[in-house]
Amino acid sequence: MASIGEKKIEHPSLGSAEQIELPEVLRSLGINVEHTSFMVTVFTAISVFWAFWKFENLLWNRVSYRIGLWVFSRPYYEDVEKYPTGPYMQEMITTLVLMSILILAYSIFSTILITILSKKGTATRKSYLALTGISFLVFLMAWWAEQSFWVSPNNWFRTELGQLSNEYWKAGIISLPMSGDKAFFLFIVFRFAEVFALLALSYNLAVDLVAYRNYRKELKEKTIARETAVWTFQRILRYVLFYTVMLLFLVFTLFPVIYTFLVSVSSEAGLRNQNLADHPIKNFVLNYSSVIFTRERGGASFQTAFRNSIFLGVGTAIGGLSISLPAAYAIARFRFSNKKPIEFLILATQMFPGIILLIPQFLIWRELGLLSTENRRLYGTLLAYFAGSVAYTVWMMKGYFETIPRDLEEAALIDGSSNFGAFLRISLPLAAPGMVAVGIFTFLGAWNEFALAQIFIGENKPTSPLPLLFYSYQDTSAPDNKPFFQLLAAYSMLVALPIIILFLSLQRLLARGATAGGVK
Amino acid sequence: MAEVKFENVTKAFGETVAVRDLNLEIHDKEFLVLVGPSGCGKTTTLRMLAGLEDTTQGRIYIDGKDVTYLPPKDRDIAMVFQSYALYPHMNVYNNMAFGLRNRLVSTSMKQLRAGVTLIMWFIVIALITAISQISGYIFGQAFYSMMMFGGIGAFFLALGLYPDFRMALTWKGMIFLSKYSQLAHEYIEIEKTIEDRVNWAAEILEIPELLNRKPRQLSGGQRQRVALGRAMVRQPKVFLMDEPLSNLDAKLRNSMRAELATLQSKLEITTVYVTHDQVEAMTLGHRIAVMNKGVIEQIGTPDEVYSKPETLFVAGFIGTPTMNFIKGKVEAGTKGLELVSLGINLHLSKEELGEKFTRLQHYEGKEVILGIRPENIKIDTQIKFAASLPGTVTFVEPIGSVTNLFFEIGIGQKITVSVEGYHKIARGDSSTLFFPYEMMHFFDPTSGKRIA
Repeated sequence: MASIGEKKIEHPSLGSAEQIELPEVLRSLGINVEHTSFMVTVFTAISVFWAFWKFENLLWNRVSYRIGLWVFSRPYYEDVEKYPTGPYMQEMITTLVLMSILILAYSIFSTILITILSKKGTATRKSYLALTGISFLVFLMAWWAEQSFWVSPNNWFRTELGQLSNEYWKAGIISLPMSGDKAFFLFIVFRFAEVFALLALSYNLAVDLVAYRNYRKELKEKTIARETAVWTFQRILRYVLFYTVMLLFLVFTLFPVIYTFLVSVSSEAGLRNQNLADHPIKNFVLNYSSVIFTRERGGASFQTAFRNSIFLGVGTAIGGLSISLPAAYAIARFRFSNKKPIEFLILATQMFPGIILLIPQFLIWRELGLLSTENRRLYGTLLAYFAGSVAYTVWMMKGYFETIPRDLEEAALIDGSSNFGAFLRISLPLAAPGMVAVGIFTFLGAWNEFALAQIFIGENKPTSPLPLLFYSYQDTSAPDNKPFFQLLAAYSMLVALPIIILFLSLQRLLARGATAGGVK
Repeated sequence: MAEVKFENVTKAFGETVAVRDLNLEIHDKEFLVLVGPSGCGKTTTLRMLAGLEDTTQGRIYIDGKDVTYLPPKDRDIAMVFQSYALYPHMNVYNNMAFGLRNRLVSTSMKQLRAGVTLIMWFIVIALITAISQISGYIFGQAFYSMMMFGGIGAFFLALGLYPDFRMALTWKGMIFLSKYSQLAHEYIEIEKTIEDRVNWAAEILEIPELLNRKPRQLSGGQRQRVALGRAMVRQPKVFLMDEPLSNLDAKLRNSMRAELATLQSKLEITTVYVTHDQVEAMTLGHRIAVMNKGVIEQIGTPDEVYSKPETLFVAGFIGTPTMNFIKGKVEAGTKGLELVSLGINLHLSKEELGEKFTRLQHYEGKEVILGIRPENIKIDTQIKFAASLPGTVTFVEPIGSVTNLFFEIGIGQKITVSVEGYHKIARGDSSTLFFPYEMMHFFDPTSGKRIA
């Protein structure tokens, strides 16, 4: 069986163990057909499937669902006796901590494994079998323990055991060998054991698969197949470690976004019944279309607000840049008297919060007649925005121009350009990444700005920008003006969407611009 | 084609004087090398000639015309920078055509070109607007504004980032307009001339296949060639080169040096070349100007500078290994004069020194510095017309083609001797050194000037 072609190749890690003939089909599927390894493969496949199912429940359904309920169902049902805040919070924290510990433990375990294996150079038949056997035993024990103690996480969370089990036990409703706390402790211990066992099994599986691949590739050196497999797998593990840590951060970062999306594809009844993302496709169409196409009272709609926001954002970016680019270039390149004080003056405007300018600005704008009609209010706001952005833009672009080598402009001067020509044809195109970065940041500032727009323009006007649309999703008939959360979430997703697209499409330029410019 | 003249030029940065009272004439078709240690003012001199620095005092003439207060674009010069300074956002062709476009195109044509470019922009923006309108009718106002602002923004971004695209747009507009306008037709003619010139330069420099690449896709040597090509295509009055070979690796530098010399003799354009590398100076220059502390110490052909250095600095700066200097007192001896130093008594024969002897007689009882190049000192073999001294070898440095021997003569005076090939002499051996009278240089220790 082991012969491929005419050469007889033994499985390196197992020595010359007797081979069992198995149908050709299995081998053609890439399954390791050697006896022990095949058993391991089968067990591992089952356990991986089981683990996937468990983790899927643990990590996603339970946690997200519970956090969602905790956040969103409280306003509807403030039934403290039935849904007290405590347990939810506890569950959430416990589960998050558990998740983190599990992932960390996974990393530590894999690291130890790698160290042991790499010290030995290769896993011997004995250690390999021991590892597999112990893993399998622990896995069985944990499984059995979990079943017998009835502390599987699903059941535990489903019945709010942490809250109720002690009382149940005290009342003698359920009889269990241990009290709630002890059971929970044991559950954690066995859960760890399970995970370790699973990891060991998966590790063996993966190494076996790689070894078998090498084996089929007819590696000439007999001893190298398993060794190479270990090395290959170590490389893979290193990736896994890296991405595990990254994933941990990603979970915390992306969770609000994903959760908002899930709320935005829920119905109102679904949210009320703690049923997140019920009929997601139907609700997606309903919620998003009602946000986009409904004309709100006062003539405001999502579309007009979107247009106003784009007008304000782009206007601020372009206006701010066109004013500050020559200034930044002059500060970066030319020598003139009182340069230092002027630089400091520009920087000084950034040193106090913009909100304290709000009232004086309002008075000045009113005196100038910039608040008399709705259109003037919009233009007045634009003026206020880009006046506020000029200092930041000048400072950033000055930094960027300083990174462009002077030689290039001098070469252009010698090639027959005027000073302005060199600026226009050489410096400006080269500063484009910086301009895009700075432009996007000023755009973002205008896009997200709320306070000034609220005072200058006000909500529910045809000229209101997007942030002011926030008010439109309140249920005015309800006594506390509670928002329609599904609409609010859909609106949030829609507001964030252009920014996400912008950032993704200009990512490369931004990275260049942000690093090269910098604040000095 | 052009002569360059510096007349009492001084450049001061605040209190520090970079160039002091410089007088220099560069002949037509000449390859002049400005050489000196770093900070000696050679680059400042070049930049003043280019118009990138103002002069504090004095005048500069190119081809008899006073250019002291002219901006660089009106001086008709081309410069190759140390960093090459290729425009990174343009391809090689447009890099080389940049200067020609600035020069060949008249003001009225520039205005037409700008007008056509603007019209092309409006056409594109109108297209974007139309598409946005249509999508706005279908999908609503929000999409209209998104398409509109996004499209126009992207278009202007592309214009800025890719000048090649902008020029192509202008080219298209000009081709359309050339059916109706004589001026646009001329523009196209000029563009064709530019193409010919760029191709001519590319052929000479063997880079025709690189014309469509961006500078970042080129290797160091190729960038160097493009920078040369950019200077060449304009056929300027003067070439200025600011250490153009210093960013290349040693092997490439040698081959480029040879090419540069051939190129200059082929093009016959007056060239001013700045370097700190004396090998480049000696091999490239028709004449060399050695600068130190803002002052030109000596101007002359490589041979003159090497064999008849005017000052102590030039004598020490030119030549490897550096010239040997022995400081001593001139005293009257039995048969002529003697140079007396620490443990050294060197006989200066009247018959052999000839004219040098009469000049040295004025220094009797005073100190002078004797300079002699390592390769001019002979050992072992008795030669005629030479003063002899005993010495001990302290160190041997075989390089291959030559062997450098470090001798100690007198009391702790160190002398370097270069002999051809491999030499059997070993550390600790004694030998007699012969100083040929013909190769002796004498300098005044206080002024540093050459005596004889």
